[in-house]
Order: sequence, then structure tokens, then C-alpha cells
Amino acid sequence: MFTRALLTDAFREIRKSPARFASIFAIVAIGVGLFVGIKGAAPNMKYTADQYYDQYQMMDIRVLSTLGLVPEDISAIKATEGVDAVQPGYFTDVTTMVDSTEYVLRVHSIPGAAIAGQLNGDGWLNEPRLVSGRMPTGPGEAVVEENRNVDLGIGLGDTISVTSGKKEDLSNTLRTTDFTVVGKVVSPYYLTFQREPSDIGSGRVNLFMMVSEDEFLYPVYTEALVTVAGARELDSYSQEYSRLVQAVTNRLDNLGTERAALRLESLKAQAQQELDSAKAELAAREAEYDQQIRDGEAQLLAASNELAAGRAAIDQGRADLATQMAAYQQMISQMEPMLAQAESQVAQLQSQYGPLLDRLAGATGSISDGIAQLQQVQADSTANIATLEGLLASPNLTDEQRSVLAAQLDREHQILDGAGRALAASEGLSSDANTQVAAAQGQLQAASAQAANARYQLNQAQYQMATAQANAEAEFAAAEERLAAGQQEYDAAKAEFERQKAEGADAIQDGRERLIRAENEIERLTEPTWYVLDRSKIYSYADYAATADRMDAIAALFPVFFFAVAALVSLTTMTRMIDEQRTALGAYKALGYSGPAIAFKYVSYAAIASLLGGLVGGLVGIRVLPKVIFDSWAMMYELPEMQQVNHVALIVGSALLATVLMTVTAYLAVRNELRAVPATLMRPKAPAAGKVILLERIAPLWSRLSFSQKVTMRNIFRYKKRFFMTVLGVAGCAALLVAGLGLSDSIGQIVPRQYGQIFTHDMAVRLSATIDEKQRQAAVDQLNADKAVAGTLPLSQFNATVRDGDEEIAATLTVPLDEAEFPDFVKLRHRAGGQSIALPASGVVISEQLGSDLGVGPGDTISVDIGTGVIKKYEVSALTENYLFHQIYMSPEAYRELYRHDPEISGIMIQLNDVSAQDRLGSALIESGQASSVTYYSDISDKFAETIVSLNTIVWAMIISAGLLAFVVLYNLTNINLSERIREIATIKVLGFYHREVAAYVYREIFLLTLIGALVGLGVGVGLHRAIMVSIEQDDVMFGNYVSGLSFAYAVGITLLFGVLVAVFMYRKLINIKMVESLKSVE
Amino acid sequence: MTTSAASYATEQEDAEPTPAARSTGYIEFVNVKKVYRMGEQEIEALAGVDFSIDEGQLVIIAGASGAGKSTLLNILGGMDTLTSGSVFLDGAELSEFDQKQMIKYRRFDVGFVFQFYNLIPNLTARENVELASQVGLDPLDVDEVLASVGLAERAGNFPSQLSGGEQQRVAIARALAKNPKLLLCDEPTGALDYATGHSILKLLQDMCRERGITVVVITHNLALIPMGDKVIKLKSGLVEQVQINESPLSVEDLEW
Repeated sequence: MFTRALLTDAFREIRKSPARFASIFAIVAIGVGLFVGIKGAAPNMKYTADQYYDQYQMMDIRVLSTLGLVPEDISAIKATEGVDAVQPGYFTDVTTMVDSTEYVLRVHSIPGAAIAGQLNGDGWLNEPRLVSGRMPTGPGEAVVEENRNVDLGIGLGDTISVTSGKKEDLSNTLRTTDFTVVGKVVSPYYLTFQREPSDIGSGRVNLFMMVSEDEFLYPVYTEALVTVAGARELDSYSQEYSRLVQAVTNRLDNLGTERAALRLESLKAQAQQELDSAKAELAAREAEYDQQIRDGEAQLLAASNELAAGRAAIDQGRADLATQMAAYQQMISQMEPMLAQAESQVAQLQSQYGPLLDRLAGATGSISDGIAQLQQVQADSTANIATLEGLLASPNLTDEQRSVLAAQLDREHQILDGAGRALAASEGLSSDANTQVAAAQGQLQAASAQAANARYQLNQAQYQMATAQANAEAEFAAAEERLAAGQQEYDAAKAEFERQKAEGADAIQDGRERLIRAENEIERLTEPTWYVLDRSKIYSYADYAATADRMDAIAALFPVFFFAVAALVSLTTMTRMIDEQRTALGAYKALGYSGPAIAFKYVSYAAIASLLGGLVGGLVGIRVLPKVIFDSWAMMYELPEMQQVNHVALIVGSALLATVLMTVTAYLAVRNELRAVPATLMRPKAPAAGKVILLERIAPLWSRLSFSQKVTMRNIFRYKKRFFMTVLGVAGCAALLVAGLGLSDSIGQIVPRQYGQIFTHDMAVRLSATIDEKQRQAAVDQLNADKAVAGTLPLSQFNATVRDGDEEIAATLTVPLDEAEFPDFVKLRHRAGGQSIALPASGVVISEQLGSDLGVGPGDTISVDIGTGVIKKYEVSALTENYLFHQIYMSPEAYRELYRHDPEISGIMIQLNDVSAQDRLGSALIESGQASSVTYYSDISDKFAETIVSLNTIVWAMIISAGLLAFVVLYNLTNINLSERIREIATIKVLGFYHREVAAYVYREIFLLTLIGALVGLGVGVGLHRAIMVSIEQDDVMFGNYVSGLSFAYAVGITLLFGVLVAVFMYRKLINIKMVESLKSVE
Repeated sequence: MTTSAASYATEQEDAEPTPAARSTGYIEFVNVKKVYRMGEQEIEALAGVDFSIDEGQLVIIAGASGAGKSTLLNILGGMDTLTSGSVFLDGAELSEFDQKQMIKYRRFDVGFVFQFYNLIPNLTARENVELASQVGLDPLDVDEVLASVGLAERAGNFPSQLSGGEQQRVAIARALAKNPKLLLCDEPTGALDYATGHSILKLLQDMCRERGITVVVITHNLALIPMGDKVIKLKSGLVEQVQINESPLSVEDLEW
């Protein structure tokens, strides 16, 4: 049956109708190429990553323990079946400041053996890849990640200083906080731009660095890296690998439980020991304390007593004095009347005495004169006596003389005596008088004396009193002073004593409490939990795998569509071909060839076209697309060069699938015709019956159309296969354009929307954890006073973790401290519709992406830990539009309700009048120590714009494939139309239609179909766009579903443009239709 | 009717009549040659044809298959170009027309009737006629023309709903609707049976006589010869004989 002539015919057919062949070839090539290209991307991505992991000995399992790992644990792990190597290590998170930005670095340890250069090629697990410089070889050296998205501005040889980012410093964690950067590295452990969450700084790890394990001061290992025997040879992302690792993971889990119990015991014992010794010490101290207290108290008591005695003495003294004074007073009071009396007596006497004295004086005067005379006499006499005696004494006296003398002497003696007597008498008189006087005087004197005495005594008494008092007072004063001084000393001493006592008591109490707490802790010490984590728990690994899977998902979308179009193209083309060759078919049948043999010609035509197209398309697709896709993902990931998996199966399979599809459709087309009898085939085909179309029944509309429009309408609605093929093909083109341009819109919109519309502030400041409330407020005030600042909003911000079953999602909780101002700084609104959302008095507003990740909506609750370890439930009140990172917003009242204290200021949002001032403000805040980090939103915008440039490649790829699709479909349609209606066209040419009228006659239909297709495509495009956006979504980033109006316009415009291109392409052919031949042929 | 001649003869100078035998006929073919080149072969379809036709004549061009009849008609109808020679129609040199002028010529001055009707299948009879009337300069009323061909009641039918004869009538109506100077018919009855063929030919003859349109009919059926005013016999691309029928037979009297 398959004669040579038949085969010749079959193969000549290909040569004779290249355009038709090309149509099928092209559509299959495009479809298969796109499918293979996109489907091939995921395996390449995964394979590349797997090779990368293997090359740098990435661990298969990572063991963490809540109490760290001790060497016994490590040996136990090593001894576990299936474990190939174990590498214990340390890691911690630190922060470093570059300009005014704080970066979080995860510091990993490099095994000592690696530092010493003792590890051979495979020995170092999680070895990083050196990009520049060298690995550390000694203390104080570090290697830092080379990340193109984060530029620390640190070069080789520079020093990097790290801090803990918390209140406690790093003195218990790292030996030094300044490291010399000796090299730059990258690691397969950190592929993604987004990293693990961290509880310090911004809440996310930004970069990693590695230092020697000797730099760490931890007493236990914080992690153990494990490789599984036989795992390296397997593909990390395959089921086999998972199973192999799972077996070991399970064993390690069990080991963990075992070790946990042992560890707990030893830990408890150790702790108890320490506790006991601490207790003993406390007791000793307490005793000491008590003793000292007692001593102190005794001393104080003694002193107090002394003081009391002193006071008593003083008091007594005072009392005595008082008594004395009283006595004196009494005495004086007694004396005074006496004195008065005496003095009155004196006065009296004096009054008596006076005149007496006068008299006396007179008398005395005379007396005294007399006396004086007498005395004189006396004296004379005495003298005379003396002389006489003297004379008498002389021996030579005569008796007469002696007698004279004696007589004289006698006389003298008589005078004398007389004088004497007189004197005596006068004296007696005087003495009487004197005696009287004397008596009076005596009395007076006595009285005076008495009075004087009394006075004297009084004075004396008074003086004594005064003196006594003065002395006493002085003594008292002195005593009081001493007493006061003594009291002061005592008070001071007492106060000191009390203070120290209180301190001591506090300290002891503190100590006691701590002991109690420690005791409780020891009691609460549960078995440590081992976290045996496989690679899927690494953020980068999981994220990357998810991305690759998404590519796969997208790849699944395309073939359905393209193959549908391809099938239609094939169907219509082959149908046309067969129609044209009716008579030939009839002839073959008449000659006696069997159905299959005849069908062979057409089926083989389709088969060859599609097989070739599939293979070529697949080969081109696999070469071009995976690289394009890979490179555009490279903006999100830190990847090495792409490696190709063997895609032969995929290409061949797809090509075969396409071929089968096309062949089947071709066969279906032939089969119909072959059913007819040869005679029927050899007669001209009955022209398709004209039918009244639906549109015609709408009389008013129909009558308004010009007849050529009527022709177009009839043509469109009569040839349904062509209608669907065109509309579908063109819709596909428009859809691809919408999706592609929309992709660019949505992604490009994120940053402007997030930082332009949602965050309507320019800077965000995170205040240092170490400054107090006052200083923080001062920072706010400072900013407000600055001219460049338009407004500030103090807020309380936390790095929160939302728990969703097993998973933890990092989010930022923001509590604005000024609710009224808040809407000016952050817009909370519904994404669809844009209505604003107010902060509720209880409950929270969360970002839409967070809501969809958790599967929650308004009314549901989420469990959040704001870093304290306590999990609280928040009720979700609304979902707000947000594009980057997860956000939770809460009002101050809600915060108070939940946490029972006022929110403290920990950050500030700033709106600027003058954006150029941002650096100045930011640096000032950092330098003053008030802020720990400052974020400039304008920087983020700029950086982001750079990274999405590679997105354009994908968009162009989509535009090109859309164009190809449209072109092929429209070209095919036009071709078919032309060949089928060639007689019609020739007729109207004959009728004298101008070229443009002829063109319009044919093209009007095509354009209308293109327009319909484009409009349908817009709708499909929105759906396709949504599907793509959903599948490429990153964890923290919501791309939104935005397609700009301009994109829609472009999509329609470009689609129509392709239509125009086809029209132009075909114009020549159309115009050159030979009227004569067309009209002569039978059909 | 003749004003259109000037409209496309703008760049024409009035041709000087060649000194050789040239009558002032309405249609004039002067030594027209048409050579087809198929690869390396040259096929001479017309080898130097001379004839003239007067206005209002019914001309039969007869000849065996391959004699060049269709070629002649195509050239006359402005659907094909000649290799050498000249063709004149109503004073204008058709052979010098460019594409645009040809189109205009076909549009306004020629009506064509084909062997296989070539109606637009998606249009009703009326619409098919409208197709022509809407391009003509001074077209006839569609319904009138349909009525004149006897298809007033079938105006709303699609070609698939019409018989062969009816379809041909529509085709004639279509050709007439343009109100052309010239009606060219290429084997108009080739696909029709005897009776129908008759009626079609009668129609053509009536049109010619009643409206004074010059009608040229190509046929290989020599029995039709008597109906024409002039008969041009072609053989191997040359005019073999030109026969003038002083009194042409009416179609009813024809037998074949």
C-alpha cells in the first residue's frame, strides 16, 4: 500500500507548501519550546543548588539543644548509625554599625582543625566558598559574607567591630569584639536574600561571618553539624535523599531523648552542688551579718545610753542649777528685805547720826580742840616732863632745882594729869560722845556694816548666783554642744547602720530569692530538647526549593494553553489542506488505495512538521529559557553558575506529545473526508451553505451594516473552528502580554507603594536599648526642634514572632504612641477599594500577606511572642495593604490591655521637610548613641529599583513569545482564509474592487477577530497574571495584583500590531492573486 | 457612458491609428500577442490577434480548447496583460493601462459572467448583486435587475439554495447591475443543461438588444454561432475567421 509514488507525493507535499508546513512547525516549536524551557528551569535550579551544597559539604542535619551540646553528646552522635561526620560548633548573633545602619551578623565558628589547615578537602562541613582574601589562620581574624545586596563597605584588612545588640555585652560570648577581615566568602547555607529571623537588631540576619571556634567562650557547643553517609551522592531535593536523611534524623531524635535525660541529671547535680555551696555561703554571710548587726546595735545602744546619761546629767545639772538658783533666789529674796531693813536702819541711824555727828562734830570739834589743846598740853607737858625728867635725871641738880623741877614735874604731871584728866574727861566726853558717836557710829556702822554686809551678801549671793548661772550655762552649753555633737554622731552612725543593715538585709534577701529562684529553676530544669533539623529547616534551602517548585507550577500552566492553540492550528490547517486536495484524495481512493495509506500523506505531513518543530523548539527552549529564568532569580539568590540537568527525556517527551497531538488532529481531519465515496470527493465540494446568523435577526442592527460588514459578520460566525483558533491564539498573545507587563507593574510597584503610599514617612529610627526613657524622649524632642523635620511619631516596636503550629513567622509589631498622628505616617487600608482602617481599641491590624500565610482573617486570633517568651493571643481586626515584610499594628490601649503596662518608646518615624537632611539627622542620632539604627526609605527604593532590572528579561521573553504566538496564529488564519476563499477574492477583484477594498474585504474579518481575541485576552491575562503572582510570591513580600491601565493598553496595542504585521506580510500575496486561474479551477 | 473613458485616459495621448487595416470599431485588437513563460518554456497563447467589435454587438468568440479564447477575454476584460500589440476600447488604449486604471476599467466598464457563476456563497442573491452595484458608477437598481433576470422572488436566497441556472442569472444580474459598457461571458452555459442554457443565452441576447450593451460570449460550442452578430473564430492563438451574421438567430431557434 505504501508505494513509492505515494511516498513521493507525501514528501513533495512538504516542499510544495512550505508556508503550511512552517505554520505547524512554528506553533509546535513555540509551544514545546516554552514548555520545555520553563519546565527545565526547576530541575536546573535544584541541581545547581545540590551541586553547590555537595561541593561545600553542606551538612545534612543540624542538631541543636536547648542546653547546648557537650562532648559526650558529640561522640554519641558520631556513633549513631548512618552518621558520616560530626562537626560541633558555635554560632551567635551580633550587630555591627556601618554608617547609620545596624546590621545583624550571624557568627559561625570555624573548626580549629580548619584554621590550622589540617582538614583535607571534604573535612570541613558547611565550608564557605572563598571569594577574595583568605581564611582566618589565627585569633582576631574573620571572614565576612560577600553579599551584593548588603554592602558593609568593609574591605580586606579592615576591622569589624561587633556588639551584642542587647543590654548584656559580649564578654561572655566572644573573646574579642574586633576582628580583622581577612577574606570574603559566600555559602550555600545562605542562598536567599532573606535570612533566618534573629532576636536582635532589625529582627533578621543580614549577613554571616565566620571566626575561629577559639573565639567563642561558650562552655557548651551550640550546634552539631552532621553529614549522612551516602547522602551526598543523592539529589538533595529528591525523595530518596529525604528518606535516607529521615532515618538518621529519627535515630538522632531518639538519641536526643536519651542524652537529654543523662544531661539533665548531670546538669542538675552540678547545679545542685553549686546551689548548696551558695546556700552555705549565704548562711555564713547571714550569720556574719547578724553578728555585725548585733555588735552594731550594742554599740549604738551604749552610745545611746551615754547620750541619755549625758542628757540626764545635763538635765540634772539644770535641775540642780534651778534649785541652786531657787535657793539663791530665796536667799536673795530673804536678804533683800533684810537689806532693805538694814538699809532703812542705816538710813534711820544716819538720820540720827547725822545731827549727832554734827553735834558731835561740833563738840568733837571743840573737844578735839580741847583735846588738841589738852593734847598739846599733854604733849607739852610730856615734853616738859620729858624735859623735866630729863633735867631731873640730871644729877647735878639741886634740890631746889629738883624741887622746882619736881614741882614743875608735878605740875607738869598735874597738868598732864589734868590734861590727862581733862583729856580723859574730854576724852571721856569725847569718848562719850565718841562713844555715843561711836555707839551711834557703831550702830550706824553696825547697821551700815550690816547693811553693807547684807548688801555684800546679797551682791555676793547675786554674784554667786549669776556666776553660778553663767558657769552653769556655759557648762550646759558646752555639755549641750557635746551632747548635740554626740547625738549627731550617733544619728549618723545609726543612719549608716540602718542603711547598711537594710542593704545587708536586701542583699541577703536578694541572695535568698536568687537561691530560691535557682532552686526553682533547677527544679524546673526539664530535659533539654534536641532539635534535629534537616536541610528543609534552613531558610534558604526551603525558600529556594519553594521557588523552584513554583517555576514548575507555572510551567504547568502554559502547555495546556499552547497545545490547545496548536491543536486548533493543526486542525484548521490540515482541514484546509485536505479540502484543497479533495480530488487527489478521490483519485487515490478510486485507484484503490486504502484509507490509512491515503491518510499517511497528511498524517506524516503533520507528524514530521510537529516532530521537527518540537525537537527544534525544545532544544532552543532548553538553551535559552532556563538560563533567563535562572538569571532573573539570581537577583534574589546568591547562586553559582547554572548547571544543566539532562533534559533529553523532557525534550523528546514533549516533542513526542506534541507530535501525537498534531497527528491525531490531522488524522481526524482526514478521516472525515475519507469516509466519502471517491465520486463525491472528485466533485467540487458543495460550497458551504450560507446560513442566517444570529446577528441577522436583530433587524435594526443588521440593516445598519454595510453589506461588506455583513459579509464579515457572516464569515466570522460561520467558520467556528477558525473563530476559536484565532480568538484563542490572539487571546493567548494578549494574555501573555498582560501577564508579562503586569508582572513588571506589580513587582515594580511594590517599593513605590510601600514606601510612597503606605509608609508616608521618610525615615525610621530604632532607639538604643541602653538609654533610658528620658534620653529617648530627648531624642524625640531634639528631632522635633530641627527645621528639616516635618513631624515625628514615637512608637513602640518589637520583633515579634507569630506562631503557626510548628512554624514561626517573623513580623514587626508597631504600637504608635500618638494614635492621632499615626495615619499621617502609615496608611492602613484595604487593598481592594482603598478604604482606610482605623487602629482598633482592642485587637490588631495585620498585613495582608501575613493573614494569608496564616490563613486568618478578621475575627480570628493569632499567637504572638514579642520577644519576652510569653505568647499572647491577638484578635485580628482587619487586614491591611502591605508589600514588604509582615506587620502587626496595635493601638496603645490594646497594648495596655494585653501587657498591663504602658508601651515604652523604642523607635521613631520621621517625616522630613527636606529629604537631603536625612543623613545628617541619622548620623547625629547614631553618634550620640541615642539610636541603634536608622533606615532611610529613599535608599531602599533606589536599591530595589536596581534589583528588578533583571525582571525585564522575563518580560521581554514573554512579549516575544506572545508575539510569535500571535503571528503564527494570525498568519495561519490569513493563509487559510486566502486559500479557501480565493475564488471569492478573485471574483471581487474581477468586479473591480480596488486593492484596498480587496484587502479590507479579507482583513476586516481578521481584525475583528483579533480585536475580540485581544479583549478576551485581557480577561485571561488578568487571571494568568494572578496565577503567576501567587506562584512567585516570597514569604515576606506581597507583590499585589496590580496591572496598570497602560499595560492593558500596551497589550491590546501590541496584539493589534502583530495583526497589522501579518496583514502587511500577506498583502502582497493577496494582491497578487491571479484572477484567471482562481476562477477557472473547479474548486 | 463614454465620459469615463476620458477619466482614466488622462495620461494617454490619442493614439495615432496605425496605417494598416484599422477600423474605428468600439473594441479594437491590434496584433495582440500573449506569451506565457512557465519555467524555461514559452507558450504563446495569442500569436497576433486582430479584430474589431462595434458597439452594441453580440459577439461570439469560438474556438477549440486551448485556442486562446479565455486569454483573449481576460485581456479584454482587463484581467490580464498582453505581451505585445494594443487593445482599444472606445478610443482608450487598454493595453497601456496601469494596474489602477485596469481596476477602474473593470469596476466601471466591464461586467463578467463566469462558467462557474462565482457567486459569494455567504451572500444572498440580492447581496451578491449589491456587491456589484455598490462599486459601479451609475448602477442600476438591484431589485429591478433581479426582476429583469426573473429572480425577484429568490432575492433572499443563498446561492446554495439556488439551482445552477438561477445562480447564473444572479451572476448576470450582478454583471448588469454595474451598468457596464461591456458584458463578457466565459462559457456561460458550460455548466448548465440544455434548457437552462437556452434561457441564459436568451437573457444575454435580450440584454444586448434591449440595453444596447456590447456582449462578448466565449464558447466552444459552435452551435451558438448563429446567435451572434459577429463571430470570431480563434485557432491556435490566431484569428482564423471573422464571420458577420447579418441577421442573427434568436436563441429560441438555436439547437444544439
